[in-house]
Amino acid sequence: MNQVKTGREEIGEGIFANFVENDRFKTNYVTFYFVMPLTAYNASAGTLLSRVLLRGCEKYPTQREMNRVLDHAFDAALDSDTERVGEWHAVSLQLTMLDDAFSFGGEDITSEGMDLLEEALMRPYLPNGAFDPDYVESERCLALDELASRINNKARYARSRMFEHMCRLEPYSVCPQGDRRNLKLLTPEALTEYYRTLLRESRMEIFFVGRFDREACTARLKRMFAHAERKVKPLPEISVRIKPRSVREVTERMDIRQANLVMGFRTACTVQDKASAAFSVYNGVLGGSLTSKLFCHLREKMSLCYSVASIPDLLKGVMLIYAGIAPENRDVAIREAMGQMDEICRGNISDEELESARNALLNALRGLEDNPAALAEWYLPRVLTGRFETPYDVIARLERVTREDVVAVSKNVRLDTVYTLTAKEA
Amino acid sequence: MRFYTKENPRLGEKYYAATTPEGLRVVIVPKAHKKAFALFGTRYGSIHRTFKREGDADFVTVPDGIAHFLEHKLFENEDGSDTFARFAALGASANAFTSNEMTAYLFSATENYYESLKVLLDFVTTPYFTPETVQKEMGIISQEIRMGDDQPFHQLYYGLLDALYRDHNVKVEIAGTVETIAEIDADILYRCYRTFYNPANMLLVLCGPWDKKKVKDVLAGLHFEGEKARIEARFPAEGKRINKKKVVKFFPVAQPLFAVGMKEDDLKRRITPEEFLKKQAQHEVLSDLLFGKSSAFYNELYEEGLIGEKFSVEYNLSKSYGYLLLYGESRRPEAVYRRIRETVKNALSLLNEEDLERSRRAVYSRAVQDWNSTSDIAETFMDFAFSDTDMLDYPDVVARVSLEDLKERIRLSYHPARLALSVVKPLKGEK
Repeated sequence: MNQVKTGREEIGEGIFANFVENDRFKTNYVTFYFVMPLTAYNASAGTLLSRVLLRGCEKYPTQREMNRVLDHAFDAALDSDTERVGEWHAVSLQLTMLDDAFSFGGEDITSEGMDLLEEALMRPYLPNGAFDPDYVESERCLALDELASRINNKARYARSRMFEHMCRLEPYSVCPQGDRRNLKLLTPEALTEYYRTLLRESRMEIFFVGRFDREACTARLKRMFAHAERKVKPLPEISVRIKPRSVREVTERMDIRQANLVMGFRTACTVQDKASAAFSVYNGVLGGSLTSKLFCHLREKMSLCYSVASIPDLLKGVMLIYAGIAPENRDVAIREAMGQMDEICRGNISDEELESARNALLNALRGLEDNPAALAEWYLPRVLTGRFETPYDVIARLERVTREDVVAVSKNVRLDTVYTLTAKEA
Repeated sequence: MRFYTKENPRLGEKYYAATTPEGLRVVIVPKAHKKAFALFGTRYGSIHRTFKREGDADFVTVPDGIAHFLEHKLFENEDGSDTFARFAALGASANAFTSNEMTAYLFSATENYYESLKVLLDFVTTPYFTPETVQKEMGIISQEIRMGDDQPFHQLYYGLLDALYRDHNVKVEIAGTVETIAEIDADILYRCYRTFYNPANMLLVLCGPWDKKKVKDVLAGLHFEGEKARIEARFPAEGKRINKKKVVKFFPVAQPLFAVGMKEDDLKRRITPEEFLKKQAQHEVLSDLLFGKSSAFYNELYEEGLIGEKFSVEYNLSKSYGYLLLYGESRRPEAVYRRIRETVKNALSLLNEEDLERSRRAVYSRAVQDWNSTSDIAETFMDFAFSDTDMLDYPDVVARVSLEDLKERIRLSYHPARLALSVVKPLKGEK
């Protein structure tokens, strides 16, 4: 086959199945996304729910029984996750299964795996009509621990702290793993209610990547959701505040040796804009690759850091610059990073810089079809904003971006917040 | 230079292999993926501190972190051009990594990949260091080392290796320390380069839509600074006993992190590559059976709130060292350690056919899934090749692991006295 075929089908109100057919993998991959507005309550309930669903179902009430079924299906992996998508919150269940061709004795791994996923999702373990209080309690502890453990990875922690400050009045600042207050308050009954809300109101996007019988999958989904009393609420618009009033500076200290500098920007550019392709190239030139201005200047020329990058969120219209630096180099790093941004504004972008940035994006997009999970991640924000486009559609737009386009988007980028997680003062 | 073919029909995979006139082994794993991936590696990692080239009078011991330092420096060119930029102009994205056992340079590309292969071969075979460029790199690598200093899992892992090993080089940090890299200069870089970057010590693995003939054409222009030579690396004698029972460090973390290791007892016997592969398969199946997600151990501790879903188990096996590694987060690391010890002690009585079948399937499935992406295939292939084994054989070896094998493995490798604990605890006052 080796030709990637895609398709999208409406299963029910606000429920869509997306197919990316591909036979080059040893595995097949399914993921169910349940998307809701991002609020502290939804994030907390969604996080706890995503954990409790894996503890047991009616048919296999313990985790060990569920894991044994998965192991028997040649180590099929059933995982759950929660994430921020713009200002929406996605709870997901993912299933990765070995392709049937590699079973020992012709076992139908795909059916075994899909059956278990269906049991876990549609017929959870609800003794006395609600989730098991013991399961809820132990998953609550783990979810709280996980939340507290965000400080373990300093770079990642610094990035989320920056957005918590920069967007403190916007839903974007909500942590997708929830907050302590809501996690502590959720009862088994409230969690069961949230489970029902999710099945009733969430936008569902389901991805099948690999070798699947499309008709059989569609039929299964239709049967699964035949009795769901759907009352889908449209997802709220994402707030895109364009101009920061003044630059906010926040410094936090820990017993660490390296400073984590995170600069937050408003970009005035989202996926909805025609200029979004130009913005992607802009980010590539600035700090999106190993030939970017930030990498070449701050790291290779000035030896200020090992890690340095710029990362945009095109759903929200924001961007961050991250650098891991010696604490005493904070001011010089900020100055040099801003200096590189000015270079772009002034049009100082060489042909090599422009083409290297473009090439890196094209290479990544073409290679996307080699990675099932990344494919689903890539499609999700697009289908949620109403565009079922393929990587090749985006490639065509990137190919038309000119230097002038890049300079034009660069002029709208405004520094909003400078956050530093640094060493304690001596 | 002629390619031979090796196939595994059950897996539906094959590769072509050949040796160039200079003595470089080249492997092509054909895949219909979009991404062409190339990996050019040398058997030179952080464990190679003391060595000599065939013909040298004496062994030399070099500063820690030098293999990794070399990895950084090879990206620099005499004409001042930037290697990343050369790849980027062709649409390829390049990178490199250093581990205990190897240094490897790589790129992935969806077009122009024969041109990119030329760049890869060229920059790795053309060293260029000056005092100035060496000095410049100190700042960058110092920040890389500081980043590791602030990563609790990095501290946890090296804490465990320090507990397990008295002298073995595996306990040395791959990037070295800010102090050891300060001793590195251009001369010592050249000496290490000429020793380890010789064709007989290197391997090129290409995975993706590569064409044998075109690859052969690219390889025709190959030139090596380091002449083909055998290398003798010397490792400090390491006894069977562990170094310390427990290592505790304090860091800004939310709750304690733990790592429990068990030092491999069965290293003295000389074994064939086939036996090595079997041993690896036995260890993987056994550790999954005893500690994996379906084991009584995992589920009991999970239900008691002692561990969470991030608990992991793996077996790291090399020719000169090996250890079982179990790690995660827990409020009561010592309690977890005691339960692991109990399980190790009772391992023989925990074996049964049903669990064996389950774990065998799980490990087999993972070995098949290693063939999913071109980068995974190339990297795993090189890992196997540098321990003189073949990734293509591995799924079948796993499928044949028997209960008798596991009993024997427990007798040879599992000893509660070889267990050690590493803990990273929260600083006082930090919740």
